Amino acid sequence: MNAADLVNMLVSDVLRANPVTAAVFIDRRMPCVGCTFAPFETVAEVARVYGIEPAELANSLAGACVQARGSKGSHQ
Amino acid sequence: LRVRAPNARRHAIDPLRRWYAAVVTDARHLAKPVALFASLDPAALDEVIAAARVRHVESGSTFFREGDPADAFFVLNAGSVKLTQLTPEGHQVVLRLVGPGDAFGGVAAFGGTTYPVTAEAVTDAQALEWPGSVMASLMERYPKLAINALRFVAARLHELQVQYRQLATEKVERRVARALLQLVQQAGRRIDSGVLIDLPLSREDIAQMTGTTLYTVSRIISRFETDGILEAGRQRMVIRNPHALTSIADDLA
Repeated sequence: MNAADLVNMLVSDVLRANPVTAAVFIDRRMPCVGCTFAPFETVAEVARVYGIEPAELANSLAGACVQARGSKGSHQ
Repeated sequence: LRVRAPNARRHAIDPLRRWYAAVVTDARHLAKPVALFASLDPAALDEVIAAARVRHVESGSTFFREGDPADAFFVLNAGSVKLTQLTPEGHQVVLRLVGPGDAFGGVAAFGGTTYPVTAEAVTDAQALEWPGSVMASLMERYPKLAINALRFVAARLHELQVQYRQLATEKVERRVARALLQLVQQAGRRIDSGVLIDLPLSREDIAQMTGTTLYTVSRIISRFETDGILEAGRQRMVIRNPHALTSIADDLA
């Protein structure tokens, strides 16, 4: 999943497709994991609420996905 | 939830089962899987479904009333149902809102004689219905069904304990915010201006859900409106600032 797609995805969809992204929200002290509104808000929308550039948050989320895939690959 | 796909070799598929398979395999029709059926094997599920009939209840009508003989057990498939009780003074108390996938009328399967609550459809509703005795014998035959039911009862008990604690200790404002979050979870729909609670729910209903008065709820909702947290119309509410509402509900503010 790349950052450009992630920006407009719903937060709950991002978390479901890539559970590793939970760490990104937690590290940034955003209570998105388990939030009632996660199925209703996009990554860009929550970024703005927390004063983060949407692209920056999307990049971190994409980075977490890539890292997770990488570490899985190294075990093979 | 596993449901056998309609089998091309089987010519006569029970229409109810086919309808049910279509409903449960299409996530758009069923927000949540039916917890009661979790990890039942397909043959058992077939038998359980075959023993049910579909019941439609129009908005404003009831599945059953408090005090009626408890003879049927239900799993809601579509719509919303509110479970209410009347106090001796004639006040209605909303105990719970039932959403798709939830069971209600459980006393029928567990030997209760009368329903302790009224189950009223808040929107047009559709449920699977089993005679209580049939559900009880299905549970004896398929212990998983009984364990799932027990889980459901345990979750309800937990919910009631939380509700009790909130009633005893929390500020009304927080209780109202929590009730709104619960409603969003059950019936939230994204629209341009925010998240619409897609249920014809009045302030009186919210007052009953939070154990307070209409006056207090109106005052709190007006304040939420002034603060730009929500937009309230007649029987219509749009959450404009989800983060502020969540903060109040979680007491982070």
